[in-house]
Amino acid sequence: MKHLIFMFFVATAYIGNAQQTHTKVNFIHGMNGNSQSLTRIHNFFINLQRSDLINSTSFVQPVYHESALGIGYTAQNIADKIFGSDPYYYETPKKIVIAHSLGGLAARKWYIDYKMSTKKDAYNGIITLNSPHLGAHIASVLTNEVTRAKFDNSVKDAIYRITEGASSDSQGLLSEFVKDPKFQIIYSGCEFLGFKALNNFTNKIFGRLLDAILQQFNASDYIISNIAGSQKVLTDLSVGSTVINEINKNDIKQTTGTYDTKVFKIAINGIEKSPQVFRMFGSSFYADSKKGSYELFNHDNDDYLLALFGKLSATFDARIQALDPSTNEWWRRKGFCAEKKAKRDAWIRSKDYLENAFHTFFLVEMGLLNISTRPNPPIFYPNDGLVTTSTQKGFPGAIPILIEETNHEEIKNSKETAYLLRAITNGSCDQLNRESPSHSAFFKLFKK
Amino acid sequence: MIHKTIIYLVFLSSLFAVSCKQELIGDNYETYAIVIEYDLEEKIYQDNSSILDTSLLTTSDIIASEVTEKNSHWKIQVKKDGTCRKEVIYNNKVIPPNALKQSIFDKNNVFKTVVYENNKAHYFNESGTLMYSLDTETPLEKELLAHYSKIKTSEKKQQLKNEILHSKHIEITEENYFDKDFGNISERMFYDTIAHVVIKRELYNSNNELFYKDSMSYQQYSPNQFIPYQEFSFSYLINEYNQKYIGIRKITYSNINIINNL
Repeated sequence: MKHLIFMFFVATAYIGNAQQTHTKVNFIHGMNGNSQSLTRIHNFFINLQRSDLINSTSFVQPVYHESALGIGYTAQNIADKIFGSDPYYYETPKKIVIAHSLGGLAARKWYIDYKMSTKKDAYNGIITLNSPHLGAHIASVLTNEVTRAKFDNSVKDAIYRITEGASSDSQGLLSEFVKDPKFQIIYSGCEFLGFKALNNFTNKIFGRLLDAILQQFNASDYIISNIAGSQKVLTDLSVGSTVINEINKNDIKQTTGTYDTKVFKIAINGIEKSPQVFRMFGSSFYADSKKGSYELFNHDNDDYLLALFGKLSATFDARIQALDPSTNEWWRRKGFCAEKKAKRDAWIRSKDYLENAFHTFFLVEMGLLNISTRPNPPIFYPNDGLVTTSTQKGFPGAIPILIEETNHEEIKNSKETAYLLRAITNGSCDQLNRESPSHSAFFKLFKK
Repeated sequence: MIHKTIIYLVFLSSLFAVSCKQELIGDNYETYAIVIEYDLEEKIYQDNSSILDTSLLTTSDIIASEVTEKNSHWKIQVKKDGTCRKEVIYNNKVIPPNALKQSIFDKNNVFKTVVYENNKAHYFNESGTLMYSLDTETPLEKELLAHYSKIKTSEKKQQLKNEILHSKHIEITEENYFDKDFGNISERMFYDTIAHVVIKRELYNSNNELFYKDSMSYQQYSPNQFIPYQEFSFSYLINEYNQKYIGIRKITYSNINIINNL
């Protein structure tokens, strides 16, 4: 009898606990992320809750899940991690998921898989941050043999052109950039290109080193092994992949009422301003090496980044002027000064490339700019530095909300994201109120 | 009282700033023996027309084939001892309608004026504040000085024209060299025996193919009369089928103004 009474108390306590929490919010990180990736947004909500602004909601501490082995595996892993840490998760009446990038696609896959097997909902509301719902161009490029080979050639060519001056005429001019702590932004961008040893700019044998790098280095191998983790995840992420098609088909079914319940969806997408790709790579790689440190990548430092490019260009210019044939004695003498002439031409080409082509090159390779339509004007696709905005919006049944001047990496930690999420959970997001009052009502977590 | 002091201090500091600025971008013609000013227009592009299979072109090649136009104003001031001061003002780029605007270099924090003086290069932004200084070589312009000392200010343009257009004064020499980068080189040089300058230089490889030519030295002697034209093709720009790309850099001079204080 005593046991029974005890059991009764335990059971009521459990039920009481479960009933206390009406809403659960889970955070799902993107490709290559970790448990720290969405910590700032999580902390933001925890603070709102501490200041007694939000109703009884459980903001689950973000956890790490496997993200490198394809969308299907990631979805399974997310389900296992969430259910593993919270056995009562599926019984919770209101479940919201906030997912970044690949995490958004994986969360949608998780919903479909769970719905197919149990006829129940894995969640009732989802907010995705910069998720490529229709796939990413760069993934398509890297999964196709022909385009991948062309991509590798183009990257090698770009490295060669941009460093041609420095490799032919190493003057230690670039050493001051390397010393600059904020050079880390460009350094991180270059790391993408395999420039692990950028300090060798100052080295006399830079040219030979560069040749060695170019002979052995394939950008696509580097991206697949170091960034994506596997070929599988890139295959899944490519535009029109089987997995993405399946997810979107099911979502269309869901929105047309084939399923019995409604899932409230919001697709938040960022638009990046120039220089998109460098800021993107910079923030991505720097955040990896210095965990959670994003202070360099707010837009206050954009001017600094641009000035660094200007300064790099100026360094090239100084060498060009120093080797100017019109003002140097050597040119007027008879006899060809092959060495000096070649050096000067190399600097000129590097400078021209830096100023006129380098940035465009990245935009084209990432599929953010189409120059194949020439002589007509090139087509520029609005993007977040990694994927185009149109692929992020393509989420059946979702309300797309735009955040300006925020890149793919930044969105998971930026103030703007936090303010937007606050507005959504406060019921004060004008766009949401206007376009779908039911969404606004669902995501409202604030007390009043 | 405090307000007045602050205003006074602000006034003083602005005066100081202006005086610092003037020190670097001085407009003192009289202290210089020769002042040469001109506008320079550059057109740079890569000629891919010799490549039949365009699928071999990399993204860099496609972008580089876009014609880039640049505009700058040059002022070269030479003192009697040959020391010089060069000032370059980079004007806004003339962007062709089919090219993408490079917003990355559009901002004010990118250098606008460069001053080369005393083996230093000073970089100023659009509002004239010094951004940074780099070490460089400012050469002695004794040859330039010697050349213009012969010319009277009033007849400078006419004389230059006569001097260069007489083809009978042009001496063509051909010499052979071996260069570790380029192999056996045959150099054909066009030398003006009156002006004592190299007019044109052509380089041929061992297969007797022209791989480099330029006429750069004209820019200071008669910029109006000839359009310097630089053409190059180097080994690194060879595609998988051994087809060469040709890089073209075309420079035009205009609004030339020469002041002779000798």
